[in-house]
Amino acid sequence: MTYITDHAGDASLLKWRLLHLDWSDDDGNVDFRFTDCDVPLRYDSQTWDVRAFTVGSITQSPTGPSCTFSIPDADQELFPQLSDTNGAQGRMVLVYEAYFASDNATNTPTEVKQIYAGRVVTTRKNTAGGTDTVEIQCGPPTTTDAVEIPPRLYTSLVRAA
Amino acid sequence: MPLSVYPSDPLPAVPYEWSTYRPIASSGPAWRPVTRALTRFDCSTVRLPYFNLSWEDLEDLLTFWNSVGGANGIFMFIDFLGINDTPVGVLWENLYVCVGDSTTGSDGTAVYDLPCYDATVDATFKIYKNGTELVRDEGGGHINYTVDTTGTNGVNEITFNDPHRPLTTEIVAVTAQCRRVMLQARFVDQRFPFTLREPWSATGTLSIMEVR
Repeated sequence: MTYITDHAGDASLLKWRLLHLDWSDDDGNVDFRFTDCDVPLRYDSQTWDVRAFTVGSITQSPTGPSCTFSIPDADQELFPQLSDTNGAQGRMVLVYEAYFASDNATNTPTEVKQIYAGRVVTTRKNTAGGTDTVEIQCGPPTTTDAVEIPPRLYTSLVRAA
Repeated sequence: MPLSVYPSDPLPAVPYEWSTYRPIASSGPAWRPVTRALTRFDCSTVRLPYFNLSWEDLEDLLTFWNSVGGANGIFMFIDFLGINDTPVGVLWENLYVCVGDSTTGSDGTAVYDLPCYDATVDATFKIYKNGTELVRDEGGGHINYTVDTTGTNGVNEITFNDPHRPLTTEIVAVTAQCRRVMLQARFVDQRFPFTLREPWSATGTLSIMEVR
């Protein structure tokens, strides 16, 4: 049994989220690894920096789940990367949940579960009303090319009169 | 770059309201809440009451307020509780210090700011790595860490000696008799809580919260 299944019914879990913006490429763009914990966490041999992002609702479609993220960006760390990568369109985003057993005093999670993987569809810088966030809307993890339905399956027949 | 430090003059009236909190995210009905934590360590807030301020005192506070851009700025705050006691301060337990920045652990010394000011380094002073105490003096000349009373940034500073440099997988915490330092803090209110034009107020409360 794993820690997660053992404690699935607990009213409160020590659980933080890890957000991996897998945006590195040959042009000098970099990955971002954030956690919504107040302490930098360590997972996958990487340090996940403190950044209080929020994850919106995850919706399911026939091709896979979609999700929206809101990441504080008043310090303009993300925005230059977005400018350089056409809004990070098509780049991967992964979300994990990092569980900590109650006696785990370290910053290394007891168990980690991936809860989402998808590709960036659109990004938006929101500066309205005291907010300064980057909002990322993601689609299913596959590229649109990979799931394109052959045109013959959805073109309607034009009936002759 | 060192942060601005909250002014110690004028002194607020001590003791004052000091509170701690741990933010959560929650769901479910009131009779069956399901929650998750958003912090590993306590965050603090203080409400500093000032009485009988002179116009010069008020200007000092306003100058600081303006220098950090009001509620926008981050600064270092040194708590005033127990400032007149001997030893100074109160006993604070399990304060967050840092997560280590070394993956190997044996590459010399490492220096971190402690969330402490005027700490008493005696038997009550304890350093924990991942919840396990790191003994200061192992005997035989092995001193595992030293504490400077005034470090680079004006607060107590700890130097871990080789090979006790904290790893990236280790959370360092401290228990100490000291004045508690919020290494990063901000004003809660976006409005300066004193009246500046006649009749200017000699009394008011500044609220400060710890951020991380």
